[in-house]
Amino acid sequence: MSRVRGVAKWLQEGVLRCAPRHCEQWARAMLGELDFIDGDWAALFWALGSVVAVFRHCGRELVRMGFRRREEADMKETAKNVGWVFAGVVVSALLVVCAASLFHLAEYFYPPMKQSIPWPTWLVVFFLPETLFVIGTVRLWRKRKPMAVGVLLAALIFATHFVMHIVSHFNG
Amino acid sequence: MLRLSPQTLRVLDAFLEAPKEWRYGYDISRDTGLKSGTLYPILMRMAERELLETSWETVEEGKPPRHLYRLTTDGMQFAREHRRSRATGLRRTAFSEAKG
Repeated sequence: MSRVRGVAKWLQEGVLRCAPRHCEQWARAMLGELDFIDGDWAALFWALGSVVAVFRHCGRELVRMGFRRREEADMKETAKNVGWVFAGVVVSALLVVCAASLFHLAEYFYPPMKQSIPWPTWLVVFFLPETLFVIGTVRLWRKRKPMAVGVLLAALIFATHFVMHIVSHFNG
Repeated sequence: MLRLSPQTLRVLDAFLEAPKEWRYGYDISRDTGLKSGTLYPILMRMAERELLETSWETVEEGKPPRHLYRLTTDGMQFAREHRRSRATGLRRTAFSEAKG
């Protein structure tokens, strides 16, 4: 098979792949004729004509299909992003839980910690995780922005919670 | 109703040459001188309006099957009516020209 005929066949098969369902048999019909066309250039023009034929007859549906595919891709992308944001929040929450658990474990083994000034609590339970959140957000911002947003969101929620806790503690 | 462009009329005429025979797309293209980009939309419209019936012919192993076309009874009637009305129209034009 010559190169020109190869291009014609490739084009014709592409038309068959992209054709909407009700145009598929026509794309297949034009492909079926390709082997019987005398001359390679005539075969190429036949294949080009089949692109025109499918577009003329099914163009509107092709455009609609294109939009549908784009919408589906957008939806998948959004779902993926939401997933990464959620993962960021979950990982951050786990970090806070781990920090709090470690602190309570330390208190359990060393009871005088409870009576001491609250700064170790603040350091372990608030400042350390918040620092890690900030570092994580900066590092992830370029590579995995949605996850960075999730971490940042968790950091903000956690900071708000901490501030409210301190304010209510000192007011009380 | 099918839009009767000069190209569509050429296709109808090509089918009327041997109305009961199955024809390949490439053969119709050669007979009418129409490119695939013009011919196939006409065939598609004719098939949608049930003026044309289609069939598949399996060829050699590994080669794609070929599509065959033939006028339906309605298609034959439609093509003949239009050929007749064209002929009448032509006769009328020729007569009025001769008169004038």
